[in-house]
Amino acid sequence: MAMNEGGAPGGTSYEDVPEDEVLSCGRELAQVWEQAETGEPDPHTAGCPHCAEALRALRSLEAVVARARDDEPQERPWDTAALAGRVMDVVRLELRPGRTLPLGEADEDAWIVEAAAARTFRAAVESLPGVRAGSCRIEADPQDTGRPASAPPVGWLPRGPARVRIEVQVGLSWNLQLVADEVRARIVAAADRELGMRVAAVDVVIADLLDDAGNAGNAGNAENAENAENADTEGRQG
Amino acid sequence: MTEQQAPRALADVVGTAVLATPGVAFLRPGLAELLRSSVGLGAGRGTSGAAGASGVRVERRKGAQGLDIEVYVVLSRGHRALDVTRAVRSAVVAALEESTPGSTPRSASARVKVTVTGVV
Repeated sequence: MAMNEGGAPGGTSYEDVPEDEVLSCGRELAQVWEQAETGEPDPHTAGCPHCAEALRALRSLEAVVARARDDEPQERPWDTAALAGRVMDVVRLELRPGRTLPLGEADEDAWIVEAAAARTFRAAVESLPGVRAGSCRIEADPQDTGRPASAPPVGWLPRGPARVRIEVQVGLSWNLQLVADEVRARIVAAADRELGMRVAAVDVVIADLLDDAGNAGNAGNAENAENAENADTEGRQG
Repeated sequence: MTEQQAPRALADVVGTAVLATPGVAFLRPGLAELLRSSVGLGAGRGTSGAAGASGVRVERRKGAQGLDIEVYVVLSRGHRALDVTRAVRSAVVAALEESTPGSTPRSASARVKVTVTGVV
């Protein structure tokens, strides 16, 4: 089963947010960047002036990052390659931030973009051995009735606890109910310790099974695959 | 400070305070806007329009006394996002009070919204 169907980096999909930047040739800027980073030849990009200009801008940005990396004092124990990668991640988040989610209590005015929160949750889930995180979607909890009457701006969730839905691929050695519980626990812990976000419920979808080599799709027999589909579990907090 | 200059100068005051807050890596750089202009997409296209290139936005509240301040920050890893946003708000309020010694503090009627746009 394919993951990340939404096409967003890291698998977050955003149906109700503004469209991405589209070049004059019809291609999305983020798509052109991602294609270029794979290093695979692309006949369209090779002959398209709009894509070429977009890639020139990307290379310029990478040069800025490289210069900043060179200027970094050597005594600081940075993993500079990882830092440069994270800076590029920030650029991607600007292009596809997703919706904006509340942090803290109802009377506060603190927020975080969905892509950053989803990335935190995916990293927490992938700290489990043999587990890969896929699409992560964060919604307002429909059962929360304590929201203010006024509707939030478009793209902003109402202040209140959130509901997280995440797809995972798991190794064959996992008991599916157990791994769903572990995934849920990691997300709740990350939401509290790393973000300060209130989470009311976590839906875990076992999207695929991984074989010992970490390959998805043909890892199990038909019975296992059926069990995986049926392991869409829900957990409500407190 | 004239009324026209005030929001821009205040944005500088706010920005300096935000950047000095532990856990803040940098203000939202607005790189998407820069790239958008460099590839000829036109300003504002593809965004909600609510978020400009700057990481700090200061506006006088229409029809009332007070300021609406929006801060967009990228955080450093290892810091709890909510704690940093609270520290940012406190730093902004303190900076506004310091910027108006001997008069009614601007912070008394300022609304400060803090949004985390990334973590590095």
